Amino acid sequence: MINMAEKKKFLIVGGGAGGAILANSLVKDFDVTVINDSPYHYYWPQLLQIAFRNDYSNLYRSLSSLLVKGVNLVIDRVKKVDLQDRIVTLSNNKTMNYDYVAIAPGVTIEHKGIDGNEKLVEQYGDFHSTPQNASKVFDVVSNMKKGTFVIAVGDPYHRCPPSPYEGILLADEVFRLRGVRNDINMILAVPYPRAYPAETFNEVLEPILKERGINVMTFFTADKIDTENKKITSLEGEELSYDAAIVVPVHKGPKIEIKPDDAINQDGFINADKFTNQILKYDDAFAIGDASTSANAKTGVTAHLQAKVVSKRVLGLDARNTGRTNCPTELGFEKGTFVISDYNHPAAKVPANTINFIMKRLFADAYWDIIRHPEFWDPIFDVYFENTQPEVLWKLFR
Amino acid sequence: MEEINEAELQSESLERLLHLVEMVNNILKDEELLKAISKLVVSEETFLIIDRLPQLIKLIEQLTRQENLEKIELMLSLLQSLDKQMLEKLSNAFKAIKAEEKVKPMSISKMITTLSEPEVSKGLNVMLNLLKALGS
Amino acid sequence: MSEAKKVVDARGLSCPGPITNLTKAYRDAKNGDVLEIWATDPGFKSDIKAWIERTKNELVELREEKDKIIAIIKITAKK
Ligand SMILES: Cc1cc2nc3c(=O)[nH]c(=O)nc-3n(C[C@H](O)[C@H](O)[C@H](O)COP(=O)(O)OP(=O)(O)OC[C@H]3O[C@@H](n4cnc5c(N)ncnc54)[C@H](O)[C@@H]3O)c2cc1C
Repeated sequence: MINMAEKKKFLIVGGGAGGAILANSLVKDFDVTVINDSPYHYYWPQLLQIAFRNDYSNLYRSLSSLLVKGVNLVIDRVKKVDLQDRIVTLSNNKTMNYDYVAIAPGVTIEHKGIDGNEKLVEQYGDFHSTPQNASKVFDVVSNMKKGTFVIAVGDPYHRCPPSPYEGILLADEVFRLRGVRNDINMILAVPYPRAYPAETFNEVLEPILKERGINVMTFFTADKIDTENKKITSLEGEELSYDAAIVVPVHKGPKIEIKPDDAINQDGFINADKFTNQILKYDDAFAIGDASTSANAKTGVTAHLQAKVVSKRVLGLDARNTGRTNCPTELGFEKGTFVISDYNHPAAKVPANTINFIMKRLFADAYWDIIRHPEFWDPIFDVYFENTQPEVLWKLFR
Repeated sequence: MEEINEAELQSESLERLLHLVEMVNNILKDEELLKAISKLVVSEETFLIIDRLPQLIKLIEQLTRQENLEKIELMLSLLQSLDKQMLEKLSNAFKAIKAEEKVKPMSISKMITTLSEPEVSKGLNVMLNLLKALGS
Repeated sequence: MSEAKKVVDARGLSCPGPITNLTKAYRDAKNGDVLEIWATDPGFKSDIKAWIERTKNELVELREEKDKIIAIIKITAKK
């Protein structure tokens, strides 16, 4: 048995999807401490279920109940991480040192990044920031009777690439079930040349949007919102009028000072290697999940896979990110699909059907167990990822 | 020490069990998920299958007997050796024979010429091989 | 404020794609700036042409090198 004193100190900043899985995967071999600024761990995909179903069931759990015995938990806000001197500073200026550090504090939502969005969110809410804002969306979609309903993407680097599409399709479902769909014009405005940026996945998605009567405005990056006159202006110079609108807000990196300065980019995301998650030349420091530039898609699956790569690398294995994405996408009316791609393959054309919806929901319902018991789920995921490699799917769905 | 470990182990497995129960509970509370699953499971086709389940099981039992499995494998390899084009020609040839039949009973001479057409003789060959493979 | 030239390196990105990086740079750019975008995604050429047509900025050059596609854009139509 390894003595506690022999184990190296591993600090993890943030106990979200990435941080919690990493902690639970490391506890056997390291003296692990997670620092999280709240006692709760949020399951962010639930914001969509709140916004369009009024369902709060899976929103959060206490973080301590998700961490394996042996992981230390500190509830405090991290102010600063000094990679050179290996020091983490907490809100009360208390400091902690480490042998290894992994930074996984997720994103900061900045409504003011788009002129007028703060006001707009107060009125109509959104589904990328807080449960309170998501509940406003539910009020809107369950009361709107006629007019133009808009979802516009203001920042292409938002969490969960398919979420705006899920949003508009789930809103369509609510309007249909309420019998008001015919009186509501639905518009999805995106910065891309087509509905979904990846051409291949667009082939799956666009026909569905069309079938459901959703108008897509391309090359429209929401830039200014005039809440008085109910108008959105795009960076590309066009205007869009609305009766109710949700603008997917600007996402920035965490509010943590990181030394040296070149460890973060101009938007505050932590510069980490896309294959190893290592920060600059510091082989004892990693950034994973939404906060890091190594996440090619801001999804929980990416954070999870990166946590596994880091947990192997610190044991001396040469594990590497493949850039695999696996974004489950709900399309309403019990249909679903997945956006599956990696560094070497564009998104495969995974058809929309009920089986994929069931897979998505099973993943979601198993979420807490997946965080708590990586040892149980790892082999299952290995098989799943192996058999659903983009390379394989590309051969299946031409 | 031993005893403590034993107790710890027990509480750990109890905890694991509770977590699994929580997950199953989550699944059972997910109305939309259950609706989707039941939509898949409860359909006209699945009812028909359930209705015929006893026969199907019997059939599967027969098919999976060792001697039959071997035969099926042989048939499969035979099928693989056939190319699609040839099968199309074959079916055309059969149709041609049938069409002829409708008009009038085929004369012996006509039949001999038909049989000697390369498509037809190939087809007959296949039939013979199939019959052989089936062991009849 | 002086006009700037900025390189946007979007090589190796296919999803969400180089246009996303361009959008990001466009938000920070002002009229007179020149953006040079590097991409490897083959769909980039048609996408950039469509973007130019829509935004009415100026496409100075679009060429293909051995390892990348290069588009040089002059920002002229920003409001
Ligand atoms: C609407 C929506 C739908 C989504 N759908 C999906 C989906 O279907 N599938 C999927 O895989 N992903 C989905 N995602 C994305 C997924 O939720 C995130 O990618 C994932 O949570 C990222 O994990 P993370 O560990 O990087 O960050 P987070 O899970 O956000 O965790 C960060 C943690 O750090 C803590 N923290 C932050 N700052 C500090 C600080 N200074 N000090 C201490 N602690 C700090 C926070 O409290 C938090 O607990 C969705 C997201 C949204 C918004």
